[in-house]
Amino acid sequence: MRNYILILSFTFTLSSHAQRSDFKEINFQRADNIANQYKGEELYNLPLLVHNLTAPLHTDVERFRAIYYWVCHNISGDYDLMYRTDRARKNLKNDPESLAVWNATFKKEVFVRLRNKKETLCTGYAYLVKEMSNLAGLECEIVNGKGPTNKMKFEDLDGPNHSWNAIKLHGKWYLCDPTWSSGVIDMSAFLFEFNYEDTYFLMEPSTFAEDHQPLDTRWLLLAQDTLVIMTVPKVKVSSRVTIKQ
Amino acid sequence: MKTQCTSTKQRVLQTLGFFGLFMTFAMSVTPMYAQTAERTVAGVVNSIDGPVFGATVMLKGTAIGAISNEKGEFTFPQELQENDVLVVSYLGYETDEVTITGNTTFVKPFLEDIPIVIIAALRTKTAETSSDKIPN
Repeated sequence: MRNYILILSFTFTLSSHAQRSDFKEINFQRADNIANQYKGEELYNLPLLVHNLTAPLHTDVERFRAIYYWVCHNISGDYDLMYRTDRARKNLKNDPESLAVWNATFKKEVFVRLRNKKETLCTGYAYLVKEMSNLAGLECEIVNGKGPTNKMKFEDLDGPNHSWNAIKLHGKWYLCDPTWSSGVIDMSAFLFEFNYEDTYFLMEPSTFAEDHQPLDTRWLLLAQDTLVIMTVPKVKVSSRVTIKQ
Repeated sequence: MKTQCTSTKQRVLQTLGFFGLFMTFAMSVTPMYAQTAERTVAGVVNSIDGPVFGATVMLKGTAIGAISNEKGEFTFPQELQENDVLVVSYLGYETDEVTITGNTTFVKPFLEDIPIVIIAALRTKTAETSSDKIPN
């Protein structure tokens, strides 16, 4: 009987998508306050910044929240880097060797600008969230893929154009997009404006998939649907047994 | 009676003497042990691009650390002991961890390049409003 209850509870755990509502009981105000307290800090001593942001917090999700909130409120999007990336990728589309050389050189410039000016493009946002999370002892990955905006569709994009993150919290992977959370580029002046959008923080995977298509489809994190289908009979059996008792 | 008193006094003095000797021995041994276990650690941080200026070298699990100079050199501000782990990082490189072993007094962390692919394409359609998000 105890085993059936265990299977039942495990099945329900698997059937829920990893999303922000998993942490309903947690108030992120403390994490946000700490992030605000360190607003304007530089990236020269990243481990210390991570320590300051996370040490007073008690749960992994709060630690990640402080990092995410800080990045989204302190790192600006850079139109120039984005434009040059786009141009280079189009020009070198049929020359993979030159593209690799360009990437190796350009990434150095991207990191220098991120470190010195706190300006970047989506890869830089995703990298910084991953690096800071790793320094806080959290598993975090960069996910590359298509991220159509405005009235675009996935088919309108030739290849991957966007990067975001997957973060493992309390044994489950979650999705978030620090670039789109941080703000927007005003296309009339090509300038970045901070405009925090909280919905991309641990967004429910099927909603996230509406405008995020990862190159590696495992990062859709919809695979748990399959688990649900597979485990449905178990739920029925265990439920029946529970009722009999 | 007198003799008995004297022998009791002697025993007390003897015990105190032994205790004193023991304490002297214990106190002289502890610092010697500490001297061999803890040591000042220095090092130089390198990468494929050469010495790394401004790399952070932190004692894992603490906020104690050092920053490398223009030659990539650093001296850790606190004495370290066996199994202490130094976390060496610099934005744009893989983080390296160095474990202090045996009589380590000099370490040479090497920061590998990050195999990151920079992507960010512009939209293929013209923006219709100024507040549209675009993938950075």
